[in-house]
Formats: sequence, structure tokens, C-alpha cells
Amino acid sequence: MNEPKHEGADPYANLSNRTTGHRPKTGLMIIGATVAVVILLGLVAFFVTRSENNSDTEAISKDTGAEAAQNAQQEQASVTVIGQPLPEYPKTTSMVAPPAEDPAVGQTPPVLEGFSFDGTPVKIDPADGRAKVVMFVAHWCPHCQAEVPLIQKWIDEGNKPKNVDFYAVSTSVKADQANYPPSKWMIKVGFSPKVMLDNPSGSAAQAYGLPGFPYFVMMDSAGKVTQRASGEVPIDQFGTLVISLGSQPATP
Amino acid sequence: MDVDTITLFFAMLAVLGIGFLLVCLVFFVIALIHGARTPGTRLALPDSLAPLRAGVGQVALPLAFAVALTSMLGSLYLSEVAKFPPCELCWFQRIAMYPQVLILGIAALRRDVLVKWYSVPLVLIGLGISIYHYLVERFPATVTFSCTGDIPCSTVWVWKFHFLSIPAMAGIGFSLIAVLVMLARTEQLPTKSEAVLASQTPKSQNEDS
Repeated sequence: MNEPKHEGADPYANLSNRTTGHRPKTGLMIIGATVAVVILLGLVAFFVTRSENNSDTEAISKDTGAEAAQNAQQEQASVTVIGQPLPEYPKTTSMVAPPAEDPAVGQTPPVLEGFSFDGTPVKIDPADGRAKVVMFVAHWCPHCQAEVPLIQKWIDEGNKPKNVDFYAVSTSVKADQANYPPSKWMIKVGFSPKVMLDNPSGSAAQAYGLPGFPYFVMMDSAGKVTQRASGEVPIDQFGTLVISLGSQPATP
Repeated sequence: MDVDTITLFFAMLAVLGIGFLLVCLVFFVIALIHGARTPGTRLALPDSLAPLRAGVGQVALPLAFAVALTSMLGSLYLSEVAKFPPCELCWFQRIAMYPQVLILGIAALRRDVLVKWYSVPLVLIGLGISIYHYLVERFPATVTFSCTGDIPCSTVWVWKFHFLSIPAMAGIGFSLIAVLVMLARTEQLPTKSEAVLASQTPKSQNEDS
């Protein structure tokens, strides 16, 4: 007499219905092919990124932030702030603070004296008679990671006005965060502006009223702030602001 | 090996996974077409493809376990070694992925195809979160445009081949697990000739009686 079949009633009943045991060679071939392809992909990834890193190193120019980063001895350094700090960044939903709402516009930012990765002194002096853009970046910030290469590309394309100087301040360095050390990041980007290292307490960033990363302070040849922006500013908008800075007369 | 190498490797694995999913889709369509022409069954593969289908069915559970293990180790590498801090949605995807390693590992050892009842619901939840996370990345309606300390879910830490981010790779991992677990069957999908034979057998028995 046949007993009724209890399909599904006993969860262990179907365990004997195991995966098909025949044609073992096909299964082994699939496993073998998968392992071979995975190993091949690993080798491709290794050699592709190695060749990319080599080409990055070759692209580094002299007297740039990237060159200083190549001889990096430090990721943070002492900073001297001379002058009154800029007022707090206005509470605005816009990445680029409207000049009418920004109390820093027309003010002179403090002088920053510090060092680059290789120990070379870097001085950001608003009163040196040249218009300048000072950008504050953090290596772990994804918005900075996105923006910095775009700015470098924009510079490489010859868009930067000759009468405008660019400086970067590497601040909020954290060894346990992504994309550390910042020197390696600068080498990878081939960053050409000079880079000043902020100290562990972020004195330079505080003196310029940093609200978030990335942060831009633009000042004219008279050393007065013309514009501040915080966030991943679209590169076209950034370019327009810098070109406008280069073409405008100094604030009396 | 640096972070770029490892993330490129993960991205290439994801592309390999997409290739596998596409092949499965083609096989499914072929099985549907042949099934429609064959009486007594909805799905039937041509005789020439049956050994391959059987072979995949045989190794599907170990492969699904390998996908889950790779996904888990990959996410741990990205957060603990590469120092990409996981956002809230990343954590929800981890909740759906990490138990799969244990569940599928035991299932692979026991060759227990019934694991699909436990694995697939969890996978579908994880896949849904991955898709949502990817959309947040691509269309960051609530995006923060600067870094102030918290890591927004719209942050794209990895971007490879112009379409692969971390949640995209996670989504492919979830899809692979779902498909592989469903492919691990107790019974082999009938070939066309077997299906024809099966459909004819009851008829001949009736005639005999």
C-alpha cells in the first residue's frame, strides 16, 4: 500500500531531494571557469591601476602642490594667523553666498603663514597685490574629492586668469578616514596650486570662517573678500566666478 | 594593492555578474519559447543546453555562497580598510546581505535547495534598498552639497565604468544570489525530448488499459 506523500509538511522531507548529483564534470567545469575568470579579473585590475598610477606620477609638474606632496614629510603643520578672522558664513541655501548677505564681503581676511607637505613655507597674504582664490579641502570629503580634479582640469585647460593666484588649504586631516594621506591625493590629482597644511585644531579654516567642505574664499587684488562659497560648486559656475574676479577692478 | 585596484576588481566582478544574469535571461527566454511549443510543460530547454543547466543547478548554492561572502568581505574592506564610512542605507543593505553568508554556507554544505524560502525574501528586501540607494545617488533630490561631518546617502564613494557605484554592485550581488538560489533545483529542468516523452507516457498508458 502506498503511503500518501507529505510534500511540504515536513521541512526535512525534501532534504533528500538534493541537487542533481549527475553530470558532476559540468559543475566542476563551471566552478573552475569561474575561479579562472575571477583570477584573470584580479590580474587585469592590478595591471590597469598600476599603469594608471605610473602615468599620474609622470604628469606632475614642478613647483606645484603635487610636487611638494611627492616629497611629503608631514600632513599637518603649524599655522600662524595674523589679523582678524572673517565673520561667520551666512545661513543660506545657496552654495555661493550672495554678496549682499555675506558680512565678509569687503573685509580683509587674515594673513596665513604655514608650510606645505615638504616643509616649504607657504604664505597667503591678502595684501600682496594679487587677486586670489583660497580653497579649503578635506581629504575624506567626497565633495572635495569630486571638485578638486575638476578644478585641476579647468586649470590645465588654461582657463585660470594669469592675475589670479590659487591656494589650497588641506584641513581636518584624519588618519583613520578615507583617502588618507592628502599628499597622495594631491599627487594623484596632479594638483598645481600651492597647498598649505592646516594644524590639528584647524586654525586656518576657523580664521576664514569655514562652514563646510569644500570652501572657497575669493579676494581681489586689494585683499578684500569679493565672494565666498561652500559646497561642490559646479565647475562652470566656479569658472565664471574666478574669471569675473580676474577681470574686476580692485575694491577701493 | 591600493583601494583603486580593489574597487576596480569589485566592479569587474559586478560586470561579470551582469553577464551571468543576462545569460540566465536568454536561457529563460529560450526555455519559455521551447516550452510553448512543447505539450505538458511551460519551460523546456533544447537538449544541447540541458547539461549546462544541470551543471549550473549543481553548483548554484556554492556560487551563491561565494557571491554573499565576496559581498560581505567587499563591504568590510570598503569601510574598514578603505575607510569609506557606510551611510544609513548601506547599513540596511548589510543587514540583508551578511546573514546570507551563514544561511547559504550551511545550505551549500547540506545541498538544501529549500533555502530559497529564507534567502530570497531577504535578498528582495536588500535589492529594493540597493535600487533606492542607487536612485538617491543618481537623483540626489535631498542631497547635501557640502561635507559637514555626517555622510549623506547620496555620497558616491566608488564610480566605475560610468554606472557602477557601491549600491549598484550590492544590487547585482543580491540579484545574483536570488537567481542562483532559484536555479538550485532538486529536479532538473526537462529537456525538450524528455518533456515530449513525459507528455506522451500517460496517453499510452491509458490506451493500454
